[in-house]
Order: sequence, then C-alpha cells, then structure tokens
Amino acid sequence: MKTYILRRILYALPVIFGVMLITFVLFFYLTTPETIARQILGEKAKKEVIQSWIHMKGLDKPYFFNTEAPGIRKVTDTLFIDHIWSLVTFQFGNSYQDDKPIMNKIITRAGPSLTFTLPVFIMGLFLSISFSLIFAFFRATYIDKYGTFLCVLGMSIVIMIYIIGFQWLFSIKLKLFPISGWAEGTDKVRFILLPIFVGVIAGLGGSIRFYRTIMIEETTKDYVRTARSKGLNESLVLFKHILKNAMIPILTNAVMAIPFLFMGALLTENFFGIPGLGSFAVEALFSNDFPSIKAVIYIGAILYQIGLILTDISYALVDPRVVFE
Amino acid sequence: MLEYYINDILRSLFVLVIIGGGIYTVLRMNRNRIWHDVFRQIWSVPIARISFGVICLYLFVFLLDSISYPLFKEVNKKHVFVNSRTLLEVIYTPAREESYSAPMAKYQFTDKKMENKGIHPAGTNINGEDVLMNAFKGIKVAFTIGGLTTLIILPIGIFFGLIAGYFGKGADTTVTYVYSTLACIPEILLLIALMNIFGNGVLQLCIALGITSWVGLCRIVRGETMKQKNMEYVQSARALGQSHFRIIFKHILPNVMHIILITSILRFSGLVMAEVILSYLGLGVPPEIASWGIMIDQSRGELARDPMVWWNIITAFSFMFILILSVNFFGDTIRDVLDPRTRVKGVKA
Amino acid sequence: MALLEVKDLRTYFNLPEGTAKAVDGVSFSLEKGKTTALVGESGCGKTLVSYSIMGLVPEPNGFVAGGEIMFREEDLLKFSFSRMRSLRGKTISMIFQEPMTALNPVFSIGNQLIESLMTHGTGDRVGAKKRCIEMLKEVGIPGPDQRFDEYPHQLSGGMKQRVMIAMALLTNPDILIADEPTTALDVTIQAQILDLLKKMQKKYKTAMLLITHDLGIVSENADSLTIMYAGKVVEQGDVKTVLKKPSHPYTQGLLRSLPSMHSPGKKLYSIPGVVPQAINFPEGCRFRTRCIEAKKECENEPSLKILKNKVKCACFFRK
Repeated sequence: MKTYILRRILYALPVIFGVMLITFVLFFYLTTPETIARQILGEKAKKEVIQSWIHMKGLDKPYFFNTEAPGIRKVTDTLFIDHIWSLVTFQFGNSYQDDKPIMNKIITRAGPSLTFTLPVFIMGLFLSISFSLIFAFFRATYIDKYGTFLCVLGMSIVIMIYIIGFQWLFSIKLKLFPISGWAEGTDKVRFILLPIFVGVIAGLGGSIRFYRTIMIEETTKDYVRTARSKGLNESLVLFKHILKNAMIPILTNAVMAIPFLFMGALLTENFFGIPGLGSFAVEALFSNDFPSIKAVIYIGAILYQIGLILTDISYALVDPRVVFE
Repeated sequence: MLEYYINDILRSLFVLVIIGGGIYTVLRMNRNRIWHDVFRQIWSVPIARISFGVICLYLFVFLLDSISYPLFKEVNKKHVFVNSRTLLEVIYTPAREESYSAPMAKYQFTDKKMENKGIHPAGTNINGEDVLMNAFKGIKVAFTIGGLTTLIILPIGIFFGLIAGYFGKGADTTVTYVYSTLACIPEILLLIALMNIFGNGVLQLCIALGITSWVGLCRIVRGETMKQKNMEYVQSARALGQSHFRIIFKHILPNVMHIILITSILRFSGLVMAEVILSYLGLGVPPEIASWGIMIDQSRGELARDPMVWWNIITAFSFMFILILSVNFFGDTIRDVLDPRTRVKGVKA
Repeated sequence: MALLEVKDLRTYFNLPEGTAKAVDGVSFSLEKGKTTALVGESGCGKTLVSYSIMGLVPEPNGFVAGGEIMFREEDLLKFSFSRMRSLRGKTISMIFQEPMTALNPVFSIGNQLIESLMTHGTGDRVGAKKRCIEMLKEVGIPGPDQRFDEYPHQLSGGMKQRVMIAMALLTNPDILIADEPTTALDVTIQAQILDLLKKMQKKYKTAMLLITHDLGIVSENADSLTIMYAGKVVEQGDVKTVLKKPSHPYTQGLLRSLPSMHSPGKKLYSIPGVVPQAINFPEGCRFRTRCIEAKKECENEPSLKILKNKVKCACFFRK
C-alpha cells in the first residue's frame, strides 16, 4: 500500500507541474506585467511609478532566459523559475491588496470556510443518501416519481436564487438571521446557520437524483434476485445487499470532495460575507491580486490530487474486488 | 451603408444555418430505423412533449431576436447608422421610462411621436427598461452561450476523446494528461481567471466556458470508446482491414453518439447557469447586454427596498427556470430512452 | 400425488406496446426425488415460469394473470407476500444461470451462505457456520474453511456455481429449480456440475425443475419433459418416449438440429426463423409461422391432447 501511494504521488507531480505552467501562461503570457501594474496602481499612474513597482515585484525579469545575468543565473533568474520556485516552496509572497503574506491569509481563511462547508457536506451527504434510499425502496411508485420530479425542480434553480430567496425570506421578511456577516466565537452560529441551510438545500436535488440512479442500477443486478430467492425480506435486500454495493461509488465520490472543503464555496461565502477562502478568491480577483489567485489555484490543484489519491485508497478499503497492485 | 446590411444579414444567416442544420440532422436521423424508434419513444412521454414545446417556443423567440436589419437616421441628408433592429423589437416595442415602474404600469414617458400607448407587463427596471423585453433578450444570450459553447466543445471533446480511447498508449496519455491538469484547477476559478484575461463579452465567455467544459465530454467519449473498441464489430472491422480513420468515424462514432447527445443536452442547462453566476461576479456578458444573470445581479438590493422591487428577479428567474427545467426534463427522457441503465425495469425473462 | 403442480399458469407483461403473454397456459408437475425438465429456445418464457413459482415475477410490469401452483394442496399464488418469502429459499430454492453475477461481490461467501440459514431461523450462528462449511465440502469445494471467508471474485465460475448449489441446498428444500445451471460454464465443468446436482438430488430426495435448452442434458438427467414454445406447452411426457419418438413438429425440429454421432458429415438441420417477440405471438398455433407442416387450420388454437403413446402434444396432425 505504501508503494502504491508513493506511485500515485509520483503520477500527480506532472499534473501539478502542468497547473504551474497554466497559471504562468495565464498570468504572464496573456497579460504583461505592465497591465498588471496598471490595474493595481490605476490607469493614470506615472510611468516611473509603474516601472519601480514592476521592479520591486521582480516582474521585470525575462520570461525564460536572462541574458544579462551571469552563469547559471541566466536560467534561474527568470520569471518562470521564480514562479515555479514560489509555488514549490509555498512562498507565495505578499498580497497586492495589503502587502501581507498570502500563506498566512490562506491559513486563517481556511477556518471559516471549514465551519461552513463541513456541516454542509455532512448533512448533505446524510440527507441525500437517506432520500435516495427511500426513493429506491419505493421505486416506480408515486413517492419515487414525485420525489425525482422535485429533485429535477431543485436542480433547475441556479444557486443565486436560493441564496437571494432565502436571504429575503429569513432575514428580510422573518428577521430570523442576519443577512450576512461574521463574528468570532459562539456568536458565529447566528451567521452560519442560514448559509449552511442554503448550501444543503441547493445541493440536495442533484445529489439525491445521482445517488438514486446508482441504487436503482444496483436493484437490477443478479445478486439482488439471488438474495430474494433466498427468502430475505425486502429491507434486508435493500439495506444490506444493495446499500453496500451502492455505497462504494457514493462514498468514494464523497471522499473526493473532502479536500475541497478547505476551499470553501465561492458564491455562498461571498453573498453571506463569510471570510473564507472562497471569498478570498473573489476579493483577490476583483483587486487583480494575481499572486493570491495563483496561490489559491495551486492549492486547489494539490487538494484535488489528494482527493484523487484518497478516492483510490477508499475504493481499495471498501471494495473487496480492488486490491493495491 | 451596405456593410451594415451585410453584417446583419450574415448574423441572421448564421443563426438560421445553425438552427436549420439542427432540424435537418434530426430529420435525417429520423430516417434511420433505430433513431426513428428512439424519437418515437421520447415522443410517447408526455413531459418530454411539453418540454419540447417549451424549448421550441424559446427557440422561436431566439430566432425572432436573431434576425435583424440595420436602422438609419437622416442627419444632414446623410444616412447614419443607429442600431440593428431585430424582428422581436418590431413586434414588441415598449417605451422607455425614467426609472422603476410596477408590473402592468402604463407607458408614461412615451415619446410624443410614438403612437402606441401600452403597458409594461412586467414593469421596468431602475434604468426604465422594460423588464419583459430584457427577459426576452436574455433568451438570446442564453441560447448563444449554450449553443456556441456546445459548438466549441463538441469537435474538441469528441475528437480527442475518440483518439485517446481508440489508440490508447501515447495518445491516451497525452490527452488524459491535458484534461486531468485542466480538471485539477477548480472550474470556477479557472473561468474567473480566463474571463479576467479575455475581458467581458459573449464570445469570450463562450471560449472560456469551452476551455473548462470540453474536459467532461472528452472524458465520457474516451471511456465509451474504450468500451466500444473491444466489441466484436470493431474487431471484425479491423479484421476486414478497414483503416483506423474509417473505424473511428464510421463505426465507433455512431455508437457513442447517444452519450454525446445526452451529455451535451444536460450540459446546456449548466452553461446557462454558469452565465448567471459569472455575470454576478461581473465577468459574464457586458452589463449593457440584457441577460438573466445581469437582471438577477441588479435585483440583489431591490428586494430590500421599500416598497420591494420583485418583478425584475421574478421575471428573470421564471424565464430561466422554465427553460432549464424543460431542458432537464427533455434531456432526462432522452437519457432514459437511450441509456438502459437508468431505466426502472425488472429482470429480463 | 405430485409434490408441486402447475396448472394453466399465465404470466403476462405490461409493455408500452401492449400486454405480452409471455407464459400462456402452462401446466406440468414435479414429483419427489424426480427431475422434470422444461425445454425451449430463449425467449419462450421458461425462466418466467420459474419466477412465477418463486413469486419473483419482476414488478411492476410482470404479473401472474391466472392459473394455480399447487404445493401440498395449497395454491402458492394465493400466499401472502411474507408467507411466500418464508417458503422461498427454505422449501423452494433456485440456482441461476450466471454464477458470475448471481453472488453479491462485496460480501464473503460465508456471509451469504449463513444469511440464508439465519433468515429461516435455523439455529445459532456457530451451528450455521458449521453447517455451511459441511455443505461447501459436500459440493466439492476444496478447503471449505478458507473458502468460507473468501469473496466471490476469488473463485472460478464452476466454483461459484458449486457455492450456489450449496446455498440452495443448505436448508434442505423440497423443490430445487435449476435455471440453465450450466449454460455459462465450460463444457468440462458442465458435466461435473450436472453430476453434482444429480448426486445431491439423490441424497436429499429433492424434486428438481431443470430448465434448459440443451436436449443432451435432458436425456441424461431428467425423468419427464415439458417442451415450451412461445409461452405454451407443445409437448409433454416421459423423457425416453419423447426423445425417442418426438411427436410435435417443433420437438422434431429441435431433435433434428442436434448433431448426431451416427451420421457424421451431414448438414445440420435448423428450424427456419426465430421465436417471435412475446408482444406479437401469432394467433392460433404459435409455431405455425415456422412450421413446415402448417396448414389453414393451424390458425385455430390447438389443445394439448394425449396421443397413443401417452405423450401430450398440441398439434392438429398428431393422433
């Protein structure tokens, strides 16, 4: 198993390198340091100011090959190597917004994100598995029919409508929760309940329907017929035989999402004023804070790879047919 | 002057050709016995018939809004181009007000010369624009984004998916490397970054959405091709000495077509939703184009006003919801018919 | 007195195109310690007959439209759902065609075996485990103690079918339904499995319903024979009599299409056409569309009548 994980990490490295390459191309090839500087300092900034800002940030170096530098530095003293090096060593530098270290910001921002995403994830998973089990148990009856109909209705509503609608209902009309904002300590419960509710509801339709499809597919398998022919009762067939088979894709699918919980939810955090990583990304975007965006994308990519590895491992743990080669 | 005419005619023609091509393809497919059977089965589901009708209605408005002619004004005995006028604007010409007016409000600040004294069925927004008209205009944006992006994704996704799935080895490694690298970047962040670089605009948005969403199609086509590759019909075609090109496009492509169809229809609604989200972030279409995303974005503060301004968001939401719902139901029916795995059925006797 | 008697069984399917009369008036009986074979091409409804006996007709589209299944003077079709369930796997067991998929891949073999015993309330877990291992040994699985904790994917197809047989016979059932038990297996394994079935049947005095399309298997293993075509019985009788001198044109065609040891080099006969779809079975004699002897009167429905050699046959031209 150790060698397997090691090999999976080795596979992930080229992909991570690819992400570094993409961010480099996105932020340096498609936009020049000058445009970045102008966006930060304003259109009317003097040429000298811009030049000194570019120099201070080290953005005046050539892309790949520095003819002016001596020796090995011809290759290393370039934008590209700086970019790669900053990512590899997690030295993301300082934010363009307030000149504070990006890494610290990311770490402090991950906390609020988790307090929001973790409950959403757990409650969402629990509810969608329960409902999909109910629909699978009552498959081809009216409960299943109208249930899936409701799921499609829920799926067809864009998340912003959920956010705006529930904010209006619970905060403006009923005045139960504050519209948005954040507080430290236990006081944050007041602020976090509504976003969690919205997060769970918004994701429910799609995931119930997805899980139901998986379970319905299992009910047509031969082993179900065998189990019935043994005289097992319907609930044992569903909760033992079908559920364990269906849980393999469902759980591994959920494991994939775990690392992303750190990333928060871009839109919901922004709407509700939760100071998490999602709203950090939006803020960075609106203030053209490229190093911050770069850092968030990079960390997201690493988390994705961790998710993939965790998925593989969880497959091997729950499915007896899968063994580590 | 001529160039404006040519410009409008070309635009209108482009849309007509795309829609005509779509209808022609469906009719051609209908001649095939298998597809004819599939269409018949889809048609036998009432909800699919209703959804199809609704989608056709939207398409009709889209068509009206896409056929345009240039409008000129005579200034100093010279024709000066004012704007393009679409058929939709000819049929429905609401007046412009100064600011908000409630639904069913009468035209108030009508231009003296304008004869029609009508009402704003869905009120007007903060700029005095007719909300219903904006919602109608949003249909064009939605279809342009959904359609154009699909046109961008399809060739890329299908081609690379087929190549990777069929040839395996190096081709597969390369394609999977490229798409797993792209998939690794959180989609919304990549979209934001791309839109930041491209700037606002419908075409830019389509390209950005195309870059992020060809991955899904490619992955599905690749997986299905790998399955089909080992089927007897491919083996026998190979044994008969047919070229790889012929096997891929003549034999495998028709057999993965149903999956492509299902994926693209169900993705369409995702694309329409993506426009709304990006428009909220200020990264979608330019704010002067009326789109549902922009309408919803505008209405954020409106619900807190007193008296509440609800018509903007409700109209935009209803237009969007009905379209997405219809597309989802229609796509679902197609999937149920084409993909036997999701069908609720018993043991085969 | 027959142990199980199927009388005029009708099992239909509701399809979008209409009602498919997949099983339409089938009668036969099972006797203690004897094997009855149900033979027919695929799609003739023979598997559906077994599902009807087990009470496993696929819902919601399939349903039993009529007939009786008499077991110990009671009609199984009138049993409540829970009473039928307590019978299933205990008094009536079934072996399926595909051993590869018939076992649940994520549970160990032991788990699936014990489950059957525990459901029917036979003893404690320790005793049940002992019984299962004994049974595994009896069906010829080497190292039953280790196999008990293994998963289905670790066994070969033949081994899995042995496990299925062990599972079916664990509760010492009165009736065993074997639905094409060897079709998915290699020829060499087929003979072993059939021998095993025969041996176990002799030992436990089980009545067996052997469903197959292979007349070779029938001649060696069965006592009586029912031949089905398109949901109806066309010929029924003692195995030796029927196979020696088939009466119905369909049975004759089936037998002629078997390769023979006595006339090598001759072109093999085949019945023209295919079994029609259950949704559009022809009116009258359902075989008439493929029958070489078909005449005008075949458009009427033939009834099953007893011929001189005591064989039942549904054809107008047989006396």
